[in-house]
Amino acid sequence: MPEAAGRPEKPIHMTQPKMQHAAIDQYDAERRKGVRRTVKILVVIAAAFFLVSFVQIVLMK
Amino acid sequence: MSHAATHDHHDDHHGAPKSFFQRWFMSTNHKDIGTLYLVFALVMFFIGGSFAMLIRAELFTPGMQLMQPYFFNQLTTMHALVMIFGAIMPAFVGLGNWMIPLMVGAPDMALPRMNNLSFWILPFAFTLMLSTLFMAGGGPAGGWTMYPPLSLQSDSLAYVVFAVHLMGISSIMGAINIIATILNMRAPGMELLKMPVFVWSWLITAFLLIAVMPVLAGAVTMLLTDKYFGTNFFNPGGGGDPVLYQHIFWFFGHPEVYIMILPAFGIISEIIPTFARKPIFGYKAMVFAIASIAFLSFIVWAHHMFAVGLPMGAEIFFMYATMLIAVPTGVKVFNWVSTMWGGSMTFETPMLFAIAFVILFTIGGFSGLMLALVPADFQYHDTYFVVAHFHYVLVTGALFAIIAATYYWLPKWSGRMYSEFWAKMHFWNSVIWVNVLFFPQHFLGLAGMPRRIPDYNVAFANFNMISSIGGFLFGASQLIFLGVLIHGVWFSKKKATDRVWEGAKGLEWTVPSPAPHHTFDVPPVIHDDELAHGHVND
Repeated sequence: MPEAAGRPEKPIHMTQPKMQHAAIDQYDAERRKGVRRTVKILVVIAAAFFLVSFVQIVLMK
Repeated sequence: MSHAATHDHHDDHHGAPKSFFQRWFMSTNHKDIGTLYLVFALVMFFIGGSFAMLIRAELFTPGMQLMQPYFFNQLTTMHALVMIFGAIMPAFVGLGNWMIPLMVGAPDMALPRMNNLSFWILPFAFTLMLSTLFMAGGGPAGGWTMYPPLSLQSDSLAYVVFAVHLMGISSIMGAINIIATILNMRAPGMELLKMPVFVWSWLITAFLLIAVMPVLAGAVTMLLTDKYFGTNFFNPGGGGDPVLYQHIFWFFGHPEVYIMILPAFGIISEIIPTFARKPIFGYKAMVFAIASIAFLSFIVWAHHMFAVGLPMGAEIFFMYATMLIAVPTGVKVFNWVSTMWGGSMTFETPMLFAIAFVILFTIGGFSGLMLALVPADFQYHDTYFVVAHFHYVLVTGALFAIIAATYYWLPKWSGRMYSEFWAKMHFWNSVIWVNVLFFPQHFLGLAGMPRRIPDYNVAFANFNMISSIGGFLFGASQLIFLGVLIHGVWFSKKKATDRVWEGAKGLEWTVPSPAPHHTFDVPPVIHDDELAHGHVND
């Protein structure tokens, strides 16, 4: 059932510890590097599958 | 003060651009782009649905009623293309866009500008494709599979191929974005095996998309060059083979089926624990079952082609490989039922649709098992039994999961509770009429009625009439859904709380309702007891 409005329970985000700013900068840099690497790998995979569809046809002929 | 986080700038309510054009056309915000995808999918759902209504109207009684046979074929082709690529897939991408960053504690998608481009390609692609209906030669009429040589006879092939290329580019970019987000943007402590099942289902689906959408692009490019540039990939007269097209199409097409159902599995795995007030039963088994289904989806494609004359060894292999999929699927159904077992269940609309999904999708799964049997498939092939099977999987499976997800997360998106009474009216009407619509089609198929025909033998008249009545009423029921959505987004006076549902767990419920424009600018730290599936290692 829907949670009762005005319930006195403390929202979880109020009790959660947050990261410090210095740690966040390093975390952001690592994330950006990771995203670039992931995108490069995935683009290569997509291009390979596109080309394989032609190769498959030629080989099967 | 409703939300402390608002005041320490953890969640920003005020970051949305004020201009309508800037916000909705140039947005890089995952929530706005998610909304755009969902609205687009809803529009396409009604366009594709209107084609279905015309198809059922023509089939209401034997004989030609309303249209020429060629236009009927255009309708069946367009209905499938619009529903698959325009409604079901964009709806899942919209749900992923909205919920994945919220569920993993990321501030946005990894590639926000590419996210905008992925969406805005779609309206152009579908305008292009739908515009062929108004052209002199008409739209594509060779079925959504576009088998040559039939599809090569269509004057609109070039438009459709270009539209499919655009949809493929959009899907590949979306998939890259989702994988990059999940692998790199998770909050500290959100390890892979702590992610919600919905996120896992999308991660695996995105890999499927990257592997198979380029293959579809390759296949339709060859169709294009065969028609306009003198190649003979599929022309026996020039040394080609049309059956090769079928192999390559279904190497895309079967994983595509799972692209449309794996995110649905993820959604159901979020909803059932919430309303059963228990962590999901067998979290790791659920994740590995999704991965197993995805792997198996690559080695079963030829079960769509049993009737073309494959070698016996190949038919036996594809038959057993297909039947093997029932094992991980059975694990999932067992775990959903086990999650409900002994739980303190309540039956709000998302849960009702989730339970209907489990039951009706299983019916679609069983008829799939019947079709997997080579000797039986020779009887069922190209009959209405196949139509009944895949509509149970895609309507009571994928579509019901999308509707369940919409009711489940709508209060988080809009900040308002929808009308539970009208939502339940929508549910009961949908679940009754969808069965009246599709269940008789099993009998029609078993009796030998072929699919994709505008006229039929009088022996099939009664079941067709029942099916059409179910179709009209199922279609009308979706207008209730539209009404509930409009009321729930703009007019409902009942405000949603942050957590919305009493048993809901997970990061998305820790942000205010409606979710602020920017969330998790500062990454949250994850604790196991806040996750929907509890302590994974227990």
